[in-house]
Amino acid sequence: MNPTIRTQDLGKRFGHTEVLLEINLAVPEGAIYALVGPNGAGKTTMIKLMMNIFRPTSGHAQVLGLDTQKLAGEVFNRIGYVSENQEMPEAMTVEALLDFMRPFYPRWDRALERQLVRQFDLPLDRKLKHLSRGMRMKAAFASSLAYRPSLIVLDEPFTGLDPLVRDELIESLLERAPETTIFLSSHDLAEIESFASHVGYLEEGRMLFSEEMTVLADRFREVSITLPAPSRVPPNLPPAWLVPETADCVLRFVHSEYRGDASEREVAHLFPAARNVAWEAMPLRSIFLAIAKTGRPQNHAPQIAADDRRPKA
Amino acid sequence: MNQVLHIFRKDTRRFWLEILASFTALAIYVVHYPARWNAVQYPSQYQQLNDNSMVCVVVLAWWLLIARVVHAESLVGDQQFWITRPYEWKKLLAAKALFVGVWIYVPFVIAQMLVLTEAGFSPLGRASGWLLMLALYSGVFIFPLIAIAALTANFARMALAVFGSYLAAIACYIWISNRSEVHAVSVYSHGYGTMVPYSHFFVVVVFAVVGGAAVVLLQYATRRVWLSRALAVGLAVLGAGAALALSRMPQREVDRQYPAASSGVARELQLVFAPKPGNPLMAGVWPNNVFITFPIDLSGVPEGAAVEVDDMQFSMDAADGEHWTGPWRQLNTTPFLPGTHAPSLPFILSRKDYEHFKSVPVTLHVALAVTELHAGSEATATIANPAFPVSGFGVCSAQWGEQPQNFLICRSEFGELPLTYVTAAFSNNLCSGPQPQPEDVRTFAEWTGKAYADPIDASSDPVRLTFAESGAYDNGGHAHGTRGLALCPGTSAHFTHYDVVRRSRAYLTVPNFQLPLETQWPRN
Repeated sequence: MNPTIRTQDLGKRFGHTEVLLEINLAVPEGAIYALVGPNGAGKTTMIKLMMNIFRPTSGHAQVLGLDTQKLAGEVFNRIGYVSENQEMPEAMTVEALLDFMRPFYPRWDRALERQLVRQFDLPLDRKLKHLSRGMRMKAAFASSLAYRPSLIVLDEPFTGLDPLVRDELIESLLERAPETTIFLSSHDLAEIESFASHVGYLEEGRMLFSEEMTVLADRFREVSITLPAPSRVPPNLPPAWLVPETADCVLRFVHSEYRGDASEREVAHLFPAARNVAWEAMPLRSIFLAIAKTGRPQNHAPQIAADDRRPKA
Repeated sequence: MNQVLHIFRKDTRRFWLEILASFTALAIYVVHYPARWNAVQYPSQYQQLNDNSMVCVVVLAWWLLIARVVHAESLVGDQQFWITRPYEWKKLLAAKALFVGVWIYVPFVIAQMLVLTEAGFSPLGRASGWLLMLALYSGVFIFPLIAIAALTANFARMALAVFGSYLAAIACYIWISNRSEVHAVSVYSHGYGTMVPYSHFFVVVVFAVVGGAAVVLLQYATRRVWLSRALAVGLAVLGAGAALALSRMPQREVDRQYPAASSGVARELQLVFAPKPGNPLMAGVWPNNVFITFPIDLSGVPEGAAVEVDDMQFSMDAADGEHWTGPWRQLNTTPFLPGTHAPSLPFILSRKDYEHFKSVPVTLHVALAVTELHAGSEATATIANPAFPVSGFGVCSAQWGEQPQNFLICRSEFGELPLTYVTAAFSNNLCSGPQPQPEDVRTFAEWTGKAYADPIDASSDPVRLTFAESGAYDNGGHAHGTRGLALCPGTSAHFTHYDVVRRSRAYLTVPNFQLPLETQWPRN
């Protein structure tokens, strides 16, 4: 099965500034892919390259099997795009926006439109410019979901929204999920952790890793080794051991290539005098912090398999 | 769904207020237009201001409308909602073109039809006139505005770009005018005395239409703003370069278009250097130039013909072999009918050349570029109030408000009136009571219209006004003042068209000519 989104050595430069560097990723059909990273990491640029809003400086990308530079016109019948900074037709009412958009999409579902309007409690007679940020985002969602797109691309969709609105939007997305691939960017790990099936981490234009959430969770462990005596961080630790630190007799690090018994034997081999070794699964936030502190691409990060599975609820 | 009509309907619903504003401006323009020939004797400064301001208001309304409709789906930026929607650029462009056609061009054409009807002409006018006028408005206003709107993100940026372009165009015009000043000739600008002939402006118009269309097409097709902006700037520079190149052509064009006469009236023209008290040879100094009034007698125009002197060129040969040739210069005079005339030709040379030649006798050569005209069709019309039609000419009026006047204001559709000699008998200005005896009747006799109409200048308005004011000629052909006289209703006016037969040159050589000493210009 072809991935819905695939990039190969994708790069973008503005003047002398490299904004994206050799991005390689593949988003399988049906995935909920969260692209995370700090502000200025290049997430929005990446999405705009995928939507043919920007043209790549190097490499190329494919969306729905088409080169992104050919994305125009009818293919957007199958793509829903919502961005936090999108300029909407402010003078239109919500109803006028939906009325105007409807004829563009042969697959527009009036019943779904009505459902979304009800679900979001959208005031049809209000102009977009008079709506709150949350309501505007809901209107944008409604106008992008009602035609049941094959791919939904969201650029920081939840930024600045109150938790209630955010949950409403996430709920509406998850309802679409079985039939749709979702690609969204965020700088807030907590908001995507609960529902993303895949995650990619972008920092300073480099993709530090891109993989399935379950695989990522399995791969990382926080390791605490109790040594017989206080010690400094030993030199020449394996490169997969991230952010090592010591406190008194305890050496702590993040193991980024945890492979069960093999990893435990490796620790035992390197620290034969260890009095105790504790292995703990890590929340996503801790994993990202460890990677962010290390700041280097995870060379062993596997490409996402085409037959991936969603995380268990 | 027809995407073109769908977008068009959306824009129409959304911008109905701007459309209404545009209609209002056009309506005021239509209502106000007839004041040009109804209300005043001369287009006064105030009247002229009003005329221009009405056109400005219409154009400003168009500007607003174009900006709003193009920016509704802005082509600049990366955050517009529509760029990730299933718009097809060709259909979007077609929708915008349809909008401009329906809400700008159609109302404008209807407005001009109303003006034509009000002026006494067929509302359909002449096809060529319509084409030229629409090309002119498209090239000067509509296409550049659409192109600038397509290259800017919002109205504020567009306003900056429009004013910048406007200033650049003025600077370019001044620059070209200054460079071509000494070359001004009448080949392209008969009778206007302009430094840059209006016809050259047509090059800019064509560039603006074609270039504007190309920029808009490129921008809608690619949305590559800097590429489109580069194209726009490149075309503008090319247009200015072409206008400059053309502004320097007339000197060569005079040689080509006015060949030495082998036959015709020009060969029979008699030109004589003839200084006399009423028409003296004089020299006056302007900072770096010396202006010499060079009096001649001109005769030899056969019956049924007339001669228009378009340009002239002076050259000098001194005994020591020194030679000087000046440029062709435009001469603004009315055509010469049979008889003897005593025009004065302006002879201009630099201070340096004047100082060089003034102390020695020279052989002076004068070449005149002349247009030979022959009387063609004639029409006689009876003067009536408030206006009277003249077959093959237009509609004329000798009335200002309720008062009969001693001048004629004639209007024509889409263009200048053909060169016409108008004669009529003056009456007393009350148009009633005892009138002059036949032997005392004074005659209105004046040229009006143009031998060579300038298509651009003539097409900026649907109705062209021509003003004819004459002296009052007695039976001996002497001119008198027109005070107390009027062209009264019921009087016959005779209109004779003069057609261009050929262009050629006539020469005058004056041996042993001595440049006059600098004198004070006589005060009137």
